[in-house]
Amino acid sequence: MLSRLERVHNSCCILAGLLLLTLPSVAQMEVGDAKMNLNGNIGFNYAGGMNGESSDHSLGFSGNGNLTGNYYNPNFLNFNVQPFYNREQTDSLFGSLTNTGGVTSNVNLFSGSHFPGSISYNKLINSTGQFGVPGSGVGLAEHGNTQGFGVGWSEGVPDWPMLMASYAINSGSNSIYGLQDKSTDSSHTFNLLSTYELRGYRLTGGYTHRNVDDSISNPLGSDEGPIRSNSSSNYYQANVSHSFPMSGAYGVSWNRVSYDYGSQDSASLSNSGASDNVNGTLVFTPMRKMNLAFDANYTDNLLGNVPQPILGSGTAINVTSLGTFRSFLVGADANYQLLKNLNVHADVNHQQQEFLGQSYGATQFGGSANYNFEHKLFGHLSFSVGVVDTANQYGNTGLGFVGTLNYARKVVGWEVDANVSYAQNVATQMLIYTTSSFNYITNARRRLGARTYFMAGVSGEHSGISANTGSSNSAERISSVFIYHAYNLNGFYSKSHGEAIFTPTGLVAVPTTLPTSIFLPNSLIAYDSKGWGLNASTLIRRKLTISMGYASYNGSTVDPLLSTFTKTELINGIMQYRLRKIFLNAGYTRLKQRISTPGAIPVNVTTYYIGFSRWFNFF
Amino acid sequence: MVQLLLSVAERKFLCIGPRLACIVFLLVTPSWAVKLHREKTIDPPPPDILLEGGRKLHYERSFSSEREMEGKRGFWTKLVDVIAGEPDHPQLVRPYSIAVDSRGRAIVTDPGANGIHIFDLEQHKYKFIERRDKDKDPMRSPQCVALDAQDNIYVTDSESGKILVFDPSGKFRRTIGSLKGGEGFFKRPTGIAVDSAAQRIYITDTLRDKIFILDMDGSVLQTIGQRGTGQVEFNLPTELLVRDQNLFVVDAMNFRVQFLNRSGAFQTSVGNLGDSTGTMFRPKGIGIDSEGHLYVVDGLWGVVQVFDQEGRLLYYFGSRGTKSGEFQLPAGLFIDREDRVFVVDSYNRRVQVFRYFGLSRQAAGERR
Repeated sequence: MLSRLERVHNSCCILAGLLLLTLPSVAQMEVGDAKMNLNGNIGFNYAGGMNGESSDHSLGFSGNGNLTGNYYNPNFLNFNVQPFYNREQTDSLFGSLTNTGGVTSNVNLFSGSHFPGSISYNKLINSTGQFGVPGSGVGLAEHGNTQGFGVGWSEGVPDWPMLMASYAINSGSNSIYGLQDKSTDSSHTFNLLSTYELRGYRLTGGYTHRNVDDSISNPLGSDEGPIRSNSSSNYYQANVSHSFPMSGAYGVSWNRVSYDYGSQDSASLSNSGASDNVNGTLVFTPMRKMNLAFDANYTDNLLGNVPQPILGSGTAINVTSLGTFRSFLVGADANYQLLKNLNVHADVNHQQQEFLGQSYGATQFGGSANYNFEHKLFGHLSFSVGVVDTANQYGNTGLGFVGTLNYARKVVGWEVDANVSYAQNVATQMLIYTTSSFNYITNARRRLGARTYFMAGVSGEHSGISANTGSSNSAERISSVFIYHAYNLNGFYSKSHGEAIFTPTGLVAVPTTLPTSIFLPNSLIAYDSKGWGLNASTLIRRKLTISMGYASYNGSTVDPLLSTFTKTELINGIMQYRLRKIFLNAGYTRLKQRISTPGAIPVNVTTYYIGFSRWFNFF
Repeated sequence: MVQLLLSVAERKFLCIGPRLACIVFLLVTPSWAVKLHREKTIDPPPPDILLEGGRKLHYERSFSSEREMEGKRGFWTKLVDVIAGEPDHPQLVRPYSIAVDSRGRAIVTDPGANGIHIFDLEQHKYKFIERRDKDKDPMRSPQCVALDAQDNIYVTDSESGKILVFDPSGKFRRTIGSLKGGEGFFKRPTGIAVDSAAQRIYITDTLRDKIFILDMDGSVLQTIGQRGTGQVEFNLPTELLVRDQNLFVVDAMNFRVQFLNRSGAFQTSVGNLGDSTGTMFRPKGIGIDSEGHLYVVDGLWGVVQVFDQEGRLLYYFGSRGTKSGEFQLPAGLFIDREDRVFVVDSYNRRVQVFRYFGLSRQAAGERR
């Protein structure tokens, strides 16, 4: 936490800045061709806190602003700047744990022309967040800083090729409460995209370069020091498509991904590769109720594009090399509207794959039916069932099934809906592996009286690679909401377990469309978590807002060498009363967090604040 | 000044008094500075429309929120405004229909705000009526408004299918058209007119293409019309008006106004589909001035067209825009006994007031 003197100094600087902006406000409403508006809050707070044996309290300012304006004309240049200081407490789950400050801003240039551009910048200092755990409603509390800068430009002259270019830099650092170690990450992304239509051919070309630097301190693993990694990737793409008779279209696309990955902890690792992918499609409708599609695909290194997008967060990870990997696929699909409510689908494809020095070939036949049913008595029902048969040179590998069911109906005042999907032995990106999954979500709602409602929901998902027994990921969640007039009470319970990979922002579940054997043995962490929470809130006469919540999270993780247990309890309450443009604010937060890692300090922090703020429309 | 205040605050860090004084000063200063310099831009009124025989139409004013009803503000009120900020003044959101009672109060329905605004233009008072959160007979989408001789307020609720009745002070009195179980009798009630002398209430049910005639207790006495394009046939009728022995019905999708007598017999009609003056595209509110001229709002063109009893176009006023005298999606219209023409300028969130100076008014002025 900042010292008292630093906080006073920072508060004074912000306030002086806002005041100096305000006093000559009229002169700045229109300066030459520039027009601006500024509004925002200025507040004063008393805050106190207890951290174990120590306690402190302080007085300070808080505020936020919203500056919008344009120069000459909004279509020539317009901008928006939103600075804020010590405003986290009113809109954060973690209330007054930190005094967050920062700014978000963006400028749009020449937006009324064929050459619009934009510049954006954002910075968050000492913000709070959650270190995520898959399938859990609550995670470990953390704090950190982030900032980002982006520039974009595009060209859209009629009859010329359209061009878009953007460049973005993002960086951040965060630390879980109770741990001294920090994780940092920074990324640079450059993107170029062009489209053009020439004599009926739609042409697209693009290039994306991305560079990510991470330094990850894994509190849940056995690594002694931070893991530093650097990865860069280049993505090239080109597509061409054209319309085809019978409401159809055909096209060819190509893309290439190349990447370099290096990491350093107790040992140094590096990896690099490239993947080329060519795809051709033809779609048309020979009959009113029928459409056909044919496609062919060639990939020379399927896993070449795995390391970055696998987690969706841009974090690079290492994978084991599978040597040469080639895949060639040709397939055909047919859809036919058999009845008004019944649609049938059939497909066949043949795939040839080579990896680990072996060659695999398989032919798949699939079929499915989709049925929609609407009846006064039975409500709305739709379902689809499908079956896939795969045969390779070693024989038939067995049937795969897919099915979905959607149901919605009003039953004695209850609005009930359910959605279930099931898949068994569905092929993954690699022919020899199949995956199975089961997802469900069901909700029930009822109006109990005037402005009184009850809602409850249950959802869950289970998935895993068929060949890897015990490697499945699962998550289940129960939630409920009760609304009585202006009062709202809600709660949830969730639990999850599976295998994940550590990233600077949290654990990310390993996708079950890939076998875990491609990951390095020490990169996977088994996790198990349970969380529950309750929250009550009310808004009385549109002036008084009160909200109180409790959340608890218990987790355990096992990396190959270390088992770790974590426990987080959070109590948070906020109150706000509005009198015209004056707001009376108060809040209370209590965080207890324990991590069983050597060196971790149990956290038991209580903070509270009370203060007021005034909204001004400065100019 | 700022540096001085802050240095004092820092030196006297533990002393709360000077710090609070500094804070109050700093918080008050911005609003004071802003108030001193903020200027209002006043839109110039449109010129009078000079008509045949010395008649004219004069633009008077517009109003849109509680703030314009306030009288002169005293010193203490201004001081509180500087310190705490001005209160939130309720304002028109998506006004639709208007009626003016015997006390000069403008009653405006506002489906966007789920309520009714009462602007007392003479007493400078304002009231907002809402029943959105009521368990019984909530007001969901107030559409058109009419008044009886006692200034009771009758409002059609197009969503709930009922008519809600309020007394002149805005207190809820009763519901007309409420069936057992809370359902509304009407499919989509829109236009309403009350004939206190005959003790009748006229309601258009737009989706049924009918006009219902009720007694004052809400019992249906007669229905008029059916779907069609002929005489006493309607295609989505909306607003209606009772004046003297006639019933004027806006037959919206037949692009005309039908004149019926009180028993429902056809008299004549005005208007036909088109996009030139004298034709109608989206007829909305209607009114009759002291000389019997029919005023018809056209919502899409943003004009008010004035016809004589024979259906001849006399003149029109307004155009699409946001300035004074211009309209965007105008809807309701009401003409009071002093020939003030109130036009609900829906998308501009305001009511514009004009005054018609006809021959009778000029003669009265000469006599004076």
